[in-house]
Amino acid sequence: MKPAAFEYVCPDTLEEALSYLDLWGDSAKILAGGQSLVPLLNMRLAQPQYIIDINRLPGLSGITRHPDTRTVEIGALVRHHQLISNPILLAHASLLSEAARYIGHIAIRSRGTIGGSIAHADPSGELPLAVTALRGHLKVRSRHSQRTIPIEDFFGGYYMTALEPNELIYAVEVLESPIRTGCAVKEFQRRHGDFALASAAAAITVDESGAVLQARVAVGGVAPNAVTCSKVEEALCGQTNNNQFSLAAELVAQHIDPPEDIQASADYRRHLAIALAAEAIDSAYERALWAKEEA
Amino acid sequence: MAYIGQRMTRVEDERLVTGQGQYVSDITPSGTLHLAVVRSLHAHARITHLDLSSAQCLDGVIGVYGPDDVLPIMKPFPPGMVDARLQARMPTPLATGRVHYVGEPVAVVVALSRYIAEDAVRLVEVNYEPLPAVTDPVAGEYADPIHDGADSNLAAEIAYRVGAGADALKDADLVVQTSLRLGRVVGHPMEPRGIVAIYDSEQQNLSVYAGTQGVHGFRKSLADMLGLSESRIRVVAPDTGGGFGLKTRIYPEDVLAAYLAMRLNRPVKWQGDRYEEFISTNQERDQWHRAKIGVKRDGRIVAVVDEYYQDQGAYTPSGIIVADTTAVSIMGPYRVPNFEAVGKVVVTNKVPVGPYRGAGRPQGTFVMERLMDHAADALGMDRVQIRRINLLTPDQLPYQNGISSRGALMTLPYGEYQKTMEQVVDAIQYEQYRDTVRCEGDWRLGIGIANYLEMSGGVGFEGAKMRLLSDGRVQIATGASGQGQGHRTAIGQVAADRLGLPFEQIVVVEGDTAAIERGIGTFGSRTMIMAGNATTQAAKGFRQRLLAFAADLFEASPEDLMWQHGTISVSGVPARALSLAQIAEEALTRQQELEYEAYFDASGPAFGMGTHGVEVAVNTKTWEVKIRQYRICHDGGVIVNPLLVEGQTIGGTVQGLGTALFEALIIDPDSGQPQNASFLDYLLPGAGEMPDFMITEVEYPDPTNPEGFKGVAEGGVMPPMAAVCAAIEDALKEWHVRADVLPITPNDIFLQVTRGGAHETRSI
Amino acid sequence: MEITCEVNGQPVTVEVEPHWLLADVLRNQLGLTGLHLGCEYGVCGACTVLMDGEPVRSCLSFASQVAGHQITTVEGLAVDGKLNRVQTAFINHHALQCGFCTPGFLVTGTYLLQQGKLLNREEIREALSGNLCRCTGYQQIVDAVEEAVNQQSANAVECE
Repeated sequence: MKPAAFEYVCPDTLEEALSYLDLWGDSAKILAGGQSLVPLLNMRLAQPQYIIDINRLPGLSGITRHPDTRTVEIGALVRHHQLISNPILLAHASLLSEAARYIGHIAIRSRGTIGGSIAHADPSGELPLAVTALRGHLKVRSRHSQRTIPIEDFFGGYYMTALEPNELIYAVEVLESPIRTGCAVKEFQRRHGDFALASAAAAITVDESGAVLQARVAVGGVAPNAVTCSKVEEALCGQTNNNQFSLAAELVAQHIDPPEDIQASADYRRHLAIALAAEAIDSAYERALWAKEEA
Repeated sequence: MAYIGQRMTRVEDERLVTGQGQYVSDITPSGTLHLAVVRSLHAHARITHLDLSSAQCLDGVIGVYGPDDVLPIMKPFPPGMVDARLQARMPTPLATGRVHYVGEPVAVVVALSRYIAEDAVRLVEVNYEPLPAVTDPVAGEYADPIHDGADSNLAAEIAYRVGAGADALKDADLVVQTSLRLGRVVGHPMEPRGIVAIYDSEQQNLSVYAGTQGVHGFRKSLADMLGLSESRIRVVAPDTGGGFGLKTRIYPEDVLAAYLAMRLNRPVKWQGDRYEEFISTNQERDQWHRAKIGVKRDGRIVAVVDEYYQDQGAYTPSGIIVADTTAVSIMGPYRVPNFEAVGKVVVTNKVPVGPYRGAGRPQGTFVMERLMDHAADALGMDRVQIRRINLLTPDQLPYQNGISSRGALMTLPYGEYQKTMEQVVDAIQYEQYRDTVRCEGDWRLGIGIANYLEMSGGVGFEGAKMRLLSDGRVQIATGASGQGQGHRTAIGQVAADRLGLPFEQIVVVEGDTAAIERGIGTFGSRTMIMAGNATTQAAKGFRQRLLAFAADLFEASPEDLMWQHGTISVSGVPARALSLAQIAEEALTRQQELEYEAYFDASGPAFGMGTHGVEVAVNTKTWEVKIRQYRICHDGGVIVNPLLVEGQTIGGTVQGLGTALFEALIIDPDSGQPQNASFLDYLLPGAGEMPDFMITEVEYPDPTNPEGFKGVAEGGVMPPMAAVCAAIEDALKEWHVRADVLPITPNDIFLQVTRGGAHETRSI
Repeated sequence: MEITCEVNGQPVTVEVEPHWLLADVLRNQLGLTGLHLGCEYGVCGACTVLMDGEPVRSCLSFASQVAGHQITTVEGLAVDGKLNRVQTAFINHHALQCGFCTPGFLVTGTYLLQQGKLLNREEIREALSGNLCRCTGYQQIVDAVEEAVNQQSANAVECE
């Protein structure tokens, strides 16, 4: 199981990387952490002519808070293990840290990157799920242009994205979580580190009375891409009790039409998505209450 | 000084923890060429066209070979097992005309590197005319034969009858019937198969490094296929990364690599990868059973009847060993007065079935233990109680259960089966919880108990050849090569005790046809029984040989000599003494080899009874199954090294838990294509899913061999499936979940729960 | 292309093809055959090495990528011929049988040791879940890592 030959470049600047990408387009692949791409290369499910290794690009490995826009920007090359322990994220976008814990294993988290994970667009990917829940934006550049793509416009089906062949994600941007926010991710994996059969992410903000002020809920593994559950979010607003949360979680079903495969039937996936969403909401709400106490 | 029974750490380990192990994949002599295999993409098809030319033109490719290019070896492999009940279906090294499973070798490439060889594989053009794939042994029995020249797909029918067989069911008060399925399990030693073949054209000798479980059998098969005398072939099994039965026989790639090494006069290496392991290495379990048990109202067994199908895959590389062992394992440690088993071995368009740890023992155990549970439930009796009633008692042992296997009546030796079971029943607090519904948050708890009777050794012979090395150490060579069991340590312990030498003075050599002339190999938990007792025998002869030699030196009679702590002296004259190193020196000057070889033949298999008890927790939201507690009590006979026995027991149990909860290769029923042939979605149990095991050992020496040894490598893998299924049913009593199909997954449980549970068919 | 990196403390310069996996180059070009290839898609963990102190799959990196980095393989775990705590504990607890997957476990275990944190059995099992073993059933591996890691941490506490 060996990859086919390719031409390899390892540019030192983003501009250089983008000009290669501009030149080669579809026949090139961006190599970041390699944890999704290299298995495909080894199995020869992907056989690009060119590999553009972006690991040495400067300025893509930082996590920055922008108080003016109340956003947090995460460089595309930030590794999963950094997400887990980064103080900025823990304080202002902890859903990403929560999500990253579920990714693979130590040796996967040490290499895998947020940009790679999102560009790979795996239906059960944890970071696509979390960024979807947070309505994040992807900062994308090509040689001659730059744009910001809202995540809801980014995914286009299994492993498909809105990226043009000459474009590269250089950062992920999410809004800071408001005060009194709690975040939780719940997944069902057959084994530690496996791709989830279903997953759910919730970020719940409460008001001073403890009622839900804003809810962000998304589910993964049950559709070609992570799905935001606006009906659930609406139903949660103003609520304070767990029974109401469970009823709201049932509405997940209205957002998904899960696939059936050898690991899970569609019914089971739907059932899991609802159960996990309910758990994630409960847990996020509880944390939001703690945050309220602290605030 | 007694080494037998000590928890000694292994002599093997220091090399292995420093990365100094030498596995086949680590061996690459200079000038090695690399082989890669073009494999069938279809489960069943005719090859209409094979074009090797583009592949041949690739830079770095030495040659590309189809069946017409390797005619001297294009003959069927000799049957792996001769049995009157079997019409063997053996492959040729490359498929000719027709392919019979996804993965069957069609052509091979030899190139300067594995990278280039894999490039070239993709340039070989094969045109296929697809044929309907036979993917179900029941329907497959009457489907068009998948092999040219065969009358049907039924390769063998196995039948056993004890007492009145199925006719006795009419005497039962209650008959319970159930359908059981075991998934297609891929054994997956962590080291995929591989071979390095080196030909010495001057001497016309072939040396191969292969991770085989039996170097001598491997040499014989290679000699047959290559038309070469065995004396010209040396087979070495270096460090081998697990075997579990899958590496007992020769495979097409072995012959192709050896043949091409001779033809090209260059070392040729084939190192299979994990995908090849999924589509070319023998697979196992994969049985369909319809089993019945007839019982009296008081719980006594009247009869057990089983009809089953072995989904054999395309060929019969190891004969009917798996299907046959299944039948003889069903009755287990119970008194079953009437028994009937009819098994059909049906060839299908899948990877062939060959032994994987247990080789039918786990299947038989699963059948019997599930029947016991279902019979108890139907009687309204406790599941442990029905076992108490039917386990053989010490006064009934030794016991002949009426099965004649390999020419001898199976004889179960003395043991205290109830006592063994009760240890586990107590340890897991079965009685305390048996009638209660236990919840912990969203989790329901349940307990399952399963018994088993581990049959080990008992087939063929094994040898030990002792030789005095020039520095006074004693070398023991055996044909039973290891794949991680720790033979060098365990056999060393036996030898040190029986020779009365310090352990450090013993060197064990395994897996080399040059080290000992004859041998069988390691499988069926036989090595300590066979090679262990051969070591004991050899020690006796070797001492005599040395004493006789020393007697000459001392001009004394051997009877007047003393052997103590590796020194031979004349009784009463301590000054006249020679160490083994001095004796070795004397032997060298006198040009004498001081060696002794002994072969041990067992009078029949050894049997050890054991019990597993498991407590599971099932989540009623996700239907995830977690193992909370696992208790084992087993009879290992005389135990040489408890540390190693625990390793074997836990390792086997975890493989059984894999079969129970996680592992099955899913084959598309229409196309015959494997659906999950990668570690990403074929789920091997990981550290996070497995529990800690508490093990108690009982030791009833086995009467079939002088040392009283029993095999311990397959007991672990036999009962976990039944125990886990029982525990899941216990936890989910409220939903009447039935766990008779393996693996039992959260999805299956969810579907049963949402459909209102499964219902058994019964008559009374 | 030629790359220069540090392997087990020694500077190494080696000529590689860009598509050669780090695992293959370590094994074939540098003769470090301790790490093994059990799947070649990052699941089994037998090829795990440390890169700048972090465990990585050497089957999911190209050798061309490691220029300027520090790699530690199982051959580099023992210092001056003295086994490290994890290696010793593996022997004492019979944490290996066939030994094929063992280098990956040792590297992961050594990484845990270097983190210097006390770990309970559940945390150890989680941390080892990226390494597959088919022989041992894991219990004795967990025993070994538990002893090695917690002994180390206990010593560290004493020193403070």
